[in-house]
Amino acid sequence: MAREAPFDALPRSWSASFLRRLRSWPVIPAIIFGFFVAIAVVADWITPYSPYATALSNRLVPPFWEETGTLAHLLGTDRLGRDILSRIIYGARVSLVAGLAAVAVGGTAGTILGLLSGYFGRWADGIIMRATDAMLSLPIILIALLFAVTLGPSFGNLILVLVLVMWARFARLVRGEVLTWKEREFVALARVAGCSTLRILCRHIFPNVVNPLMVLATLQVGWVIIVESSLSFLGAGIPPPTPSWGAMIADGRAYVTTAWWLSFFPGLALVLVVLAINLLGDWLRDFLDPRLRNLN
Amino acid sequence: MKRRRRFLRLANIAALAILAAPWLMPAPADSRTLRYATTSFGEENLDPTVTSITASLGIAGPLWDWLTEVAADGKLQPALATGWKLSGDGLSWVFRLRQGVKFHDGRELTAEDVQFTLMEAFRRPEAKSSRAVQFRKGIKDVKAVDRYTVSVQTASPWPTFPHDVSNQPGIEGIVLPKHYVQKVGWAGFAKRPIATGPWKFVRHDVGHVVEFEAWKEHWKTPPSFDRLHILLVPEAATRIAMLRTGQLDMADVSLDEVPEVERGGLKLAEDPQPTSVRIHLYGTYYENAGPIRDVRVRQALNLAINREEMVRTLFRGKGKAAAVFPPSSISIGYPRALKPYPYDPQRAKKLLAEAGVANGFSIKLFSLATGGFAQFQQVAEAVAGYWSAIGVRASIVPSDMGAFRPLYMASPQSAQVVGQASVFATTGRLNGADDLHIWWTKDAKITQLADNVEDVAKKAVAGRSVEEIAQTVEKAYQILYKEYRSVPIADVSGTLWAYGNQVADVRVRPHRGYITPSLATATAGR
Amino acid sequence: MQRFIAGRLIQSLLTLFIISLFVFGLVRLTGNPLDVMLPIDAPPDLRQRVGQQLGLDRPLHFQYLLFLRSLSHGDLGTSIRTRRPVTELLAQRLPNSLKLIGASIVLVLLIALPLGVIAATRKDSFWDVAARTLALLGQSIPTFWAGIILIAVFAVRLDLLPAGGDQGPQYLVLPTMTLGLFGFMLAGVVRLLRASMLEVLDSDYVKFARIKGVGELAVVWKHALKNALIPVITFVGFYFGILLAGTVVVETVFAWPGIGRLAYEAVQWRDYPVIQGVVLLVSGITLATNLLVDVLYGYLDPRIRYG
Repeated sequence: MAREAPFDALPRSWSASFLRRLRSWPVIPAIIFGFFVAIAVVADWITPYSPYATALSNRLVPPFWEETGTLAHLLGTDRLGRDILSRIIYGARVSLVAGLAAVAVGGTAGTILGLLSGYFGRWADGIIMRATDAMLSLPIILIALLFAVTLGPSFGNLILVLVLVMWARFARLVRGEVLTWKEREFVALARVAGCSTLRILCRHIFPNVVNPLMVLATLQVGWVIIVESSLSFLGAGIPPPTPSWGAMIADGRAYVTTAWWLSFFPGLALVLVVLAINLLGDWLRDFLDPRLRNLN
Repeated sequence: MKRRRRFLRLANIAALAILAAPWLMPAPADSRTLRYATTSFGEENLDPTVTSITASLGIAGPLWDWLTEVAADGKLQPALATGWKLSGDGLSWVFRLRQGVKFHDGRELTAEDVQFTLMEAFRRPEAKSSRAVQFRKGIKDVKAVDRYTVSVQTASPWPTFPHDVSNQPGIEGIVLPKHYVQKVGWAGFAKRPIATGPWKFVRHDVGHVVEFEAWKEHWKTPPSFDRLHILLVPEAATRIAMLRTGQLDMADVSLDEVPEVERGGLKLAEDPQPTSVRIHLYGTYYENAGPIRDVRVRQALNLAINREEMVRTLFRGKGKAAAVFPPSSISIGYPRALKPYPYDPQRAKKLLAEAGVANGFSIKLFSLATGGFAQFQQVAEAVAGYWSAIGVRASIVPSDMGAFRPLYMASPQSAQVVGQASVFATTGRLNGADDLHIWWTKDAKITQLADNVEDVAKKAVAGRSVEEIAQTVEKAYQILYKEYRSVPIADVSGTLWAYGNQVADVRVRPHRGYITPSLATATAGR
Repeated sequence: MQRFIAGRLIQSLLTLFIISLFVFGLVRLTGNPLDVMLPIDAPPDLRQRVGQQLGLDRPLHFQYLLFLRSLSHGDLGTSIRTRRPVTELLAQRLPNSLKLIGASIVLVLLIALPLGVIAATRKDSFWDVAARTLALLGQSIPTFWAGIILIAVFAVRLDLLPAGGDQGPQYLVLPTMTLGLFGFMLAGVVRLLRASMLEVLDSDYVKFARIKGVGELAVVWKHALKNALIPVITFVGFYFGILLAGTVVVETVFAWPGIGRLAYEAVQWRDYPVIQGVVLLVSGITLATNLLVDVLYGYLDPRIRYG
């Protein structure tokens, strides 16, 4: 598809438009996301209980406003008597770290492969792109499940699994971007001026790829959190007793109508965070995507 | 004109919606069909000789009858065989068969069929039912004495043989139709099996449903329903919703679902034989077993666990604390005298200090999902919680047989499992010597024990009378108990079935956790 | 054009070959079916015998070549678990999956078209934000949880729809809702439609239509939408294959006998041939739809260069 180039056709009122867009930035999602990042960071100091401390005699206590609830466990306790609030707070750390780590590693690997593929073309492109095509046409959940079964369940392995199924999306995106940029005059100029390939890739091409990359990375963080919950449901997520939101929802699903709080609160936290991340990603896309920026 | 056309289109849509409304409602239930949903179809092959117990009893269970039958109280009763007796030399069993029992194609069951089943069917090279090996080794010959008399010669004295061909331990006591298998072959039999049981096979849609119809000429319990559908519904929440909406009449549930079941006004049927739950300790007498090699540490791991609390909360009172694993009260050789280990975390801590691990240690706790019992994960988490209170750090490793078995099969002293622990749950076999053999001897490779137990277990298997076997088995369990070789938790009614108003009653016999062979006893409600 | 198609076809076949090699290796890393199938005290000779029957004792490269050879005859082998031909199992399940996916795509389009158009025509207004948030909300809820809640509400509480199974069209409603409203497709279509509507509304073509005096409603819903749908069709085509196996969670929740659950059970039993069959089928369909969409796209949009 033909794509407008931002530097060739910068709108005159660029700064005005920038300010207007900045004003429309999504305050509420940013606050929600910031809040969960904050509690993830300070989890150790603010949790009322250890997220692992079981107390069987104290199981399935409802949230405090219910008849048999208690202020000692504001959001109630789970099947093993663990404090749900504490587990949700620690779960924020687990989910966010999983999301960020998987996207950071997968994104980096995919970006490097995409840069190589797009810039060098020929056989490197052939190999990397066939592998990318193969990866993208594979049934993701199934492949993730196979990797998870092979590697065994652990937090680190889960991230590895997600990286293995995710890199291709980044590779495909980056390659496409590189192809549009590498024929540009400034790249040709740099080459004539004797810049090394590495320098051209890092200093001239990569900065132009950053924007779409950021958008994709943001949206992928939400994707990772959702996929982890699906894997938990299928029994291949982060192993217990680590408090992952996905596993908490999956554990509580047998109690949807009798002890609704088991799955509701972790579910609410997960929905809020993923929605916030997706809204931020959407906004970022509008804000950074040159194609949309030139409209109006 | 244009507007009119649009109006017409809208009218069409509205009409469609009205027409669609009745079809959105679930069709009224057919009261003559018993619809039962299970968690897993297991190995979905209806040939009982080449499948695990999950397939043989989980989905093909309605087809079978056994030579003998074990009632809920553990008593042995006549079934296809009306009587049996041991010969003077103790090496052959003579069974008298019931007359007039018909296969689903109308042909009568005879001694030929029993001979065929024991000498050919379960001896095929590909036969891999759970005790095919034992039967292949133990049975020397089977002779059809006359049309209704069959004589089984064993290689060595086999006093529990009538127990071993009953419904409780597995599948090898059924009788397969010689004439039919010879006609259609084993592949044909797997596609369209026939037998003598209360339900006749109709259709099998892989991964979805197996359908049967009542065999009205059954010798004992012609079902009160006309048809039986066994459906695969893997998700528990869905099974209960389907029961509550009348889409199902009966379904597998676990203890976790009991509140939902009660809220939905459904009834519960329990397995008369409990599931035995324990934490297994691997290779406790090997040099490289680490801390659990020390009996004081093993005792501490046992004293740390509050079994009563687990039974009361996690198991909803449906069970009792256990002293041994896995025999249940109906098993031959069940050690009744042994009391569950007490709960004493203070003493546990002291014992750890005496053993030189006052600061605790780390141990892997594999949690094996092997079907049937749904609460592996929670047992693992609860035990990890108790252990952490005395300083033992257990990291839970969820696993399944496909991933776990290679770990300990690799080598008897495989470093990946020796010194570690796992959650296990199983239903004890009727013959306590079998379980002793499977779980506590070197042959089985699940545990490797010091010779004192190994020898006793060997002796138990070779016992010459049921009483002798019972005594030896009991002795073996006493040694295991005294040495704290494992961490028994509880005998739990872990396998439950919920049923709705369509069913008035069902009497579950012990079938190692499967209800399908008992479904003929379900009576229609309302 | 023909050269383009031929080139893409060769690329797709090459990709499929890579996939076959990859999945063949990966499934064998997950474990051995004998460990799941044999009784717990199986002696080594039984293990060896059953392994031989299943052809698991042969060297790996030999097994792979055998697999490729039968694949070239359209034979995907025999399921280790059920002893049925894999092609038969796939043929039984595929129609169920297609039904579910087809219905979900229709549902997504029915919801996404108005949302996308509203978002584009009232850009940055409350309606725009609301439409996009609504679409994103679905994507932010784990499907299994959404499915279970839908069952609790529509089947148990309201007694309106069956909770699970597959015995008629009414059984399709809840799984379709779950997959359509809570999958990744809805938000994708809304976002894409909004972007492409914005682009088209800004084009000379639409400006010209307005100048001609065509009513605003007709401009938006007829002229603009028709053009804006092209990238949406591409996306839906691309998504089709992803959905085919991505439905395992929905199929499990609703006891829907489709491809996804077939594969999931196969993973539990380490049923190599079935896993391979499902992966090749799904990837093959994905590659084929992508190819088809590319070609169709070429016909619809002559601006695309083939090279």
